[in-house]
Amino acid sequence: MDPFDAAGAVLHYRFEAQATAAAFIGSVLAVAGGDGAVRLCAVDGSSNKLDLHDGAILAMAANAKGDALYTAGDDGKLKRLAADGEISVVHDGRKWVDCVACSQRGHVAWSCGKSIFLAKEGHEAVEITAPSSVSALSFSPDGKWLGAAVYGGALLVSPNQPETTKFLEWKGSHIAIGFSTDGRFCVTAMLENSLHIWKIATPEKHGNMGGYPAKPVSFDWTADGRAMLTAGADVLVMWPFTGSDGPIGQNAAIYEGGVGIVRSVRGRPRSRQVLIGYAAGGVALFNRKDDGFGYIADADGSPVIDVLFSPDGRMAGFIRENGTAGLLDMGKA
Amino acid sequence: MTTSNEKIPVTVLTGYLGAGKTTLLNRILTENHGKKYAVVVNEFGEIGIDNDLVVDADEEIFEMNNGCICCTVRGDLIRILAGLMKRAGDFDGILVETTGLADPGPVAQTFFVDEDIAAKTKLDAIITVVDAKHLSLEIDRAPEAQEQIAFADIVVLNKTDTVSDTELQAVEARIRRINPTCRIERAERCNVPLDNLLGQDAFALDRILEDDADFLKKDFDEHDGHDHSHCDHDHGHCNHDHDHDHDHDHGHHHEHGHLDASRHDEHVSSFSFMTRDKIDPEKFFPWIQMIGQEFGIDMLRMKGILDMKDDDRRYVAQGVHMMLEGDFQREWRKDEDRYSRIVFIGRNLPRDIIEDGFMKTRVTA
Repeated sequence: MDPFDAAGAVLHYRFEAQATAAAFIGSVLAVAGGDGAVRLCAVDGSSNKLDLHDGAILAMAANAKGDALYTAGDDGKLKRLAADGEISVVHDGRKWVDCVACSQRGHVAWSCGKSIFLAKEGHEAVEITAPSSVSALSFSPDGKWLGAAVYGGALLVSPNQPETTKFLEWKGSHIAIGFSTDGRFCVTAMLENSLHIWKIATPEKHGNMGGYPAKPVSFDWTADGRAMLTAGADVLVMWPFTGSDGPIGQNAAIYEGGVGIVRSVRGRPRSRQVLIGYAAGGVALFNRKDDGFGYIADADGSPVIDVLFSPDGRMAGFIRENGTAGLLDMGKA
Repeated sequence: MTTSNEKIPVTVLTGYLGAGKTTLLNRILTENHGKKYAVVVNEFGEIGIDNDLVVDADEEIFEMNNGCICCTVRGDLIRILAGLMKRAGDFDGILVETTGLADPGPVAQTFFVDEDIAAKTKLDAIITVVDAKHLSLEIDRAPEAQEQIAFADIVVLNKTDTVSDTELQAVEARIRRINPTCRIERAERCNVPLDNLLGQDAFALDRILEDDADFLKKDFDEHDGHDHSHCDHDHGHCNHDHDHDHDHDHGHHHEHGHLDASRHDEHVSSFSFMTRDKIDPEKFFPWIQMIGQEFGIDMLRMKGILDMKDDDRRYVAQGVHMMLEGDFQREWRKDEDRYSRIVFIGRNLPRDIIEDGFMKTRVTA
């Protein structure tokens, strides 16, 4: 799709609360808010507001089946919102529910301070205590590991045998976590404007990716898994994942042409396209076919805190911190 | 919700268990002052108010992986402040209570180190609540008590009704010796007007040393005639004890008879230097960087107003450990006395070395 046409086709939404998280449920873009509500934005331009939490929604994740959303609130609750509209309380505690993640194999995990809860959807959760408060949770695409970003490194937990854990160590505070598409590497973002990477099978093989002017809190892989896209710089930074050691010992490729610091980034499924959200509010599509940037939304001054695609790659969405959002039907990926 | 981009003020409340922090927090949460505060309390706290804006925190001190050994931050606070900012508009300010023995350094540094926090919040003031009756004992026993006073912008001297006037003056003198730039608010049951505690903007560069100008100048004028180089006393009206540098004991104590003159070797102490000579920025900046590098671990707070050569604006600087910041502020007013002053508060800082270095940054040096 030509970016010029794409820009005209974006459906824009403006909500009266801060946007805090986003997820796709089918082709519907769900936007979580600082007021505890989830807005469901449909391709027909309509939006439906559902009040879920007393307070802010701190995190949100869609399950692999695509029939439910989990919302984590500062009211101490984790709630499940099914596609049919049914709302249930999964967890009710005294502490904030800070993070939530879903696996491809039907697991859901959430954290409250140092406590990690891990469950097969619809089943009883087991509790794992992390060495410090958890900043982020993520499952590896192969479902082998649940990763938690903590102080001093990454804690990996086996979803099927929660007593099996692995600690990937690196001094400092880790604030975001993800896994390469083949599940062989774990990557964290750090408070010191850098990324850290470990080869999970041989964690003594690890490396630091520094030099970012801002925190690279958002990173993702291209659909073919051959490169990791990262935010945190005023250029699009791509680390190669082609060799046996991934980017360890390699240099990053840099693509200029953006507008300011990249805040969020996502690879489009089944495509060579990349969606980029900027700290100043702009949104661009980058095409690896021609290394060209095309703008689909103008900068409005508020950071684009997330960019995302529906699992089939057809729908693209973005949210800005100030409560604005965009939805775009890009056609079949 | 507000659409304003104004930074949310954060007030840090330190002090020993039993000094009156909880009383003060309860007042702030219940009194009708027209403002709403989110309160971050520690797990040992005993705040009796159930409020959706009261957040439990586990104090987690994180070292940064940047080679700076004194660069520690409150990891839990970064997470909680980021979470609270998602509800921006629900409250006017944030209060952070620390545990009794906490070092305020990491809390303060969090606001310097984390860019996202610095973009949305600002440190308003560090308030230390102390018990007038027990403070002297605590200061003698625990270095933490001294450090909490050293970091403070405001010391609430609570339970003044439990001590005599003489005792009260002695306690104030000791507070002043540790921290000459803080404001002392006397109180019984923490009954300080909240306007004197909240909304202080004490870390704004244009407020640095504003309240202290009078006493610093008084000292300066007293010595201006015969000593062009520095202020020889910490403070105009307190116990003049200059023996901070334990390794270089010159043994000259000026003690005023009307106060309790019993000498205490404070673990934390302060000194200030002043000059009417212009400061050379090309000498000053490398020097202050070096001081930060060399003595940052022990330098708890630094504040300075400097008269730089070839510039009609005041240069204002402040530091917390190795975190230094500074900028040119307003122009010197015609009616104000134009001179440079700098105050250091720290643990056993080498006064002679710092004084010598500062004086060498003068244009004439």
